[in-house]
Amino acid sequence: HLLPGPGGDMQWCFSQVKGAIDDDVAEADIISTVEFNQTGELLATGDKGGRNKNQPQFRSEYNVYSTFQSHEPEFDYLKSLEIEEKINKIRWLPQKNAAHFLLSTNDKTIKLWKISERDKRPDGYNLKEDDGRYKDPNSITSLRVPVLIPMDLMVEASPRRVFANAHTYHINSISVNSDNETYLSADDLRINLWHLEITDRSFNIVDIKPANMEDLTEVITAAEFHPLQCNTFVYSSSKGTIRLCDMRNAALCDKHSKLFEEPEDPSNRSFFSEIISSISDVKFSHNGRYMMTRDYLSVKIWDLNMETRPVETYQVHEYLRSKLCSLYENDCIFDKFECCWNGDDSVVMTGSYNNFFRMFDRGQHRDVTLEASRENSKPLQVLKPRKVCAGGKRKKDEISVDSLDFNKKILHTAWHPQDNIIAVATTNNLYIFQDKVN
Amino acid sequence: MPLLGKTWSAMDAVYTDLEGTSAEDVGICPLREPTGGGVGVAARARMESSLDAQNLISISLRKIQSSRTQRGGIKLHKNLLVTYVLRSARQLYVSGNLSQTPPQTPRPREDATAGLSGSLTELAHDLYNFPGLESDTWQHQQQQQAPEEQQAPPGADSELTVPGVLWWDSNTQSNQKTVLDLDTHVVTTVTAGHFLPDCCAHGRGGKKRRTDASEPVGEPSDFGSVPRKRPRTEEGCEHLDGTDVSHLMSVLGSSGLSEFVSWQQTDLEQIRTVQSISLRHSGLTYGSWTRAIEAF
Repeated sequence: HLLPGPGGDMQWCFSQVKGAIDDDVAEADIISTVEFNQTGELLATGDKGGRNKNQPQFRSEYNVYSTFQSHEPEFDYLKSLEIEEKINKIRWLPQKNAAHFLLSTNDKTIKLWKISERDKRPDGYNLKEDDGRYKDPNSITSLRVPVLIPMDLMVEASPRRVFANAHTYHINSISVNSDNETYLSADDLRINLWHLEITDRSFNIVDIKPANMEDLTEVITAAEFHPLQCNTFVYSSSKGTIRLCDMRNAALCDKHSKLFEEPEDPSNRSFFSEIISSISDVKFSHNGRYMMTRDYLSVKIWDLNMETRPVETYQVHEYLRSKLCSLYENDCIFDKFECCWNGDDSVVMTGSYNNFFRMFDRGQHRDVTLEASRENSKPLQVLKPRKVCAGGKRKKDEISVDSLDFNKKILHTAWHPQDNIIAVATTNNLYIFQDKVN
Repeated sequence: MPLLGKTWSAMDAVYTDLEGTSAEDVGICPLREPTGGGVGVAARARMESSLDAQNLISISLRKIQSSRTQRGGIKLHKNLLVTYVLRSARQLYVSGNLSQTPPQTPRPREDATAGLSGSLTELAHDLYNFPGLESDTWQHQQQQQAPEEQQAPPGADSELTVPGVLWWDSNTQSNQKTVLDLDTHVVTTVTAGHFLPDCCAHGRGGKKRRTDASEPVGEPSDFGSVPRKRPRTEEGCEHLDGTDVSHLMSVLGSSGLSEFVSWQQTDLEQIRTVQSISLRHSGLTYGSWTRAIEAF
């Protein structure tokens, strides 16, 4: 059950866990997004309370670096709607100077935050006292040059841009372009292109809203820029299709360049076929040759050159296929799982229920199920692979489908861009695991 | 949220027969062929799957209703998916009922060909399909039948007091109407009836009951109206669950689907579109969507 990796087998060990221990979870503490920056040095989480937490890495440990309130609840008086402060997505900008920048979005508004360190302060002003009060000019008898002296590290987060009023529907994705100047934001029906410096307007590049809302059959569920080609982006739909668009073709990219769709297997048809085929996440591979999609029961890898079907399909929790009715009733069927690639695109990861998460090694055709739990949280404790028993005789150490806790779901996971370090978010805890060899 | 285990056992009674133990189970099964000899077995299978369809319809409607009160406004994606389920369940239910009774009218155009577009407004369109749109007066139809009786005397004119009832039918030409009674959560099908909504969204001067079919209006009205509570009719139907209607009504309050509709309304493009589209497609749907919930 070991996942082979470069330099031998991978063994995942517990590293850290962040968050409250008790089971009574405050709604505001529910983690809603997790993202490493491009170097892996920083790990950001967003929660339902609108807060961002950033953790820098130090000796393979992540400690809280800064916590700030990114969004506040708002009220749209025109529509009598409350706008949640929940952070839907965070995306880091590539670092250009000492400060770090990230984009953080709730349902309606995207904000660009600057996170900077301050570890020196000026001392010895001529005109001001140490506490900031101005001196009586008559009392100044000499001049000196102020100096910078060390101080305790202070991390400041300040909003640099607010991109508002561009989305009628709920924003589900943001994606920074490889040109480092623009980014896209997607809601249920539209995708807008922004320039990072310009907040008072955006450019609509996709609009799938029908002239008559009666004719609405699908919505946009996720969108992402190609990691290398600044003119290319993809968006996924609730019908299980992915469209690749080239911004050079036309100003409005309603007409796709490629349409990726796998025909439905008629033997699997049920009342819930539409729901489980809805794509909840789409991610390009780092090398830009593949993209991965997540629907309710599976992960699919697509070659960008082949639109007719995915090149690989991995079943995440096929044992749930016979439970779809219950999962519909308790709303679990609407859970939006994310997925992620490892640094060299050889392994993909996604979450499941009962605080399980799954990794699929593409090269070795092996997969493993691991669990994020407090019980397995001793320092450097190696994670034991888990197994779900779908039916028949349950073996020792297996867990039966009916015993799974559907309140414990892992929707958000992130993989360090270079190393074998992963961040896995349960409802309100963030677990960090790393490869023992690491 | 209940653990799946608990939910599962509660659902056992309803779903055991259909779920089976096969690994190929896909949840609710479509209408199956009779497995044994005799009409009795066939009828039972159909009845069970009708019950499942009823259950799914009821669950789906409750989801739509509760999404209205969620923070952050109505989630378009989720509601779209729910309408897909709703339409499939309704189709199954209607086809199950139709196969039990000899068809009265030429078989209505099959919804399957119309497709499961699943749009919210189309659902609303079906919920309130006004066959007599051109007629000047609406009529009540007394619902006297128990679920087993599918025949309504054609042209019956008697007053109908049907509290908390949603109506929809499979198409405009059909004389069949499928009814969800929100008191009992029983879905029944009635033939040859006319229907009057509790409140006509497009009534003139804000009249709420038995208004004349009016010109299409661009905007729904009556958001603030509270439906007059009508005396309950005798229902010999079994309760599928114990949801309290008065609880539903208090949850809904008086504003109906105001967030949803006002959200739609204040989308400027939508307003322009609304004003140029006929009652059947636009004003009807907004109004009827509001009515659908107010009828709770």
